[in-house]
Amino acid sequence: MNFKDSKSIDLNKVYKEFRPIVSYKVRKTLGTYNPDWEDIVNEILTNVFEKLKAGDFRGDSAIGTFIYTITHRRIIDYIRQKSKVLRYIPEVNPFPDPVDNVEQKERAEKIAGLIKKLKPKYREILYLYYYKGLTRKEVAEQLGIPPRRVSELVNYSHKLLKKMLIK
Amino acid sequence: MKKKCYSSQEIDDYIMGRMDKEKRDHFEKHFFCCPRCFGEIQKREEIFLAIKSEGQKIFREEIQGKRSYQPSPLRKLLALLTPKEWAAVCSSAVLFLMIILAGTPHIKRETPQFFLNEDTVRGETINLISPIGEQKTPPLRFEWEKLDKTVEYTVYLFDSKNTLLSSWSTKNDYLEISEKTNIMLSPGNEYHWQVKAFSTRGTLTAVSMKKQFFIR
Repeated sequence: MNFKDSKSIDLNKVYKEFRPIVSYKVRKTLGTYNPDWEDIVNEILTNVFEKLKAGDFRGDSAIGTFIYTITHRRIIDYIRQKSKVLRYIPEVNPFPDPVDNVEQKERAEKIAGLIKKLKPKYREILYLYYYKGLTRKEVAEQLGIPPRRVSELVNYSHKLLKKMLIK
Repeated sequence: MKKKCYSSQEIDDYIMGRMDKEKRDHFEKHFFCCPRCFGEIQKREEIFLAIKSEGQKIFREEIQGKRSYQPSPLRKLLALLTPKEWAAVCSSAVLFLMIILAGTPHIKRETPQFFLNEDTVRGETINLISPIGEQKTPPLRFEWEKLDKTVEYTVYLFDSKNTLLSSWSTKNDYLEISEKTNIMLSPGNEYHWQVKAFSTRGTLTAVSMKKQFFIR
């Protein structure tokens, strides 16, 4: 999305495009279980709209960078506030748990079923790389293949799963 | 900020929390402006999270050690090059062979001669049934297995020195010889016989092996 300045901005488009990105960033940083994440996202977007209406976005940078800066600052403020109250930040879950709702759980089970159907060469890559968390170099050493080949197999596995999910 | 999109490896590093802070900040700034990279994050993260949450079910065999991944010698060999590189090597080899073959002068070799005679026949063979081996009396009947398309058979009788003594033609799969003819087969001697089959046009279609019989 390219906007030259605040006047040419369609707020509906901004909301539609950036809400998922802002939500993702907030949840990723603060953790999926954080009950405040949705409020913070709303605050950020409200702040963005106010600044856009006030003409604070002059088009010097991309609108994405502008929204990123606001998001980043708000997250830091939140962490500071919580630190004052709790004296420490509760450990953030680095990966949102897909089991946090039924829909995601079903989706995860569907993906799991599809992975089971993959050929062993793709399963082994996914097992070593994602499940065991080995680096590409470590996977390559274990399987006796070049690291570049590991990347190719990982990417091809994603491609296969994507195709299977569409079906 | 990096203008160019991030690689799938970098995206995985971000998802799996392997990116250092500085690079992570740059990447986050980038995907705020790049729907393509953000879409890629979401797709890859979905698979990653499914593996993390359902991994124990998906990889039960691997976790229990029932399935281990060790590279085979063939795999090690194949791993020396990527599929693209192998394809390039094969294409080069084919091109090289084509150049060699195109550059080789055409040498005229003597054309091989194929011929068909009474001893060399393509097609069926005739199995002889009797007489074979030792006989108490001179045989009056010669039998062989019938062929489907043959019209006429010729039976040849040879002495022990392979000299043709007599021949007969018949449309049956047996031949009965008269006692008069039979007189030439004397006890204590060895004989050979053979059957050849001919089509309606008189073409030789099948030949039997020469079989030997001995009269006591």
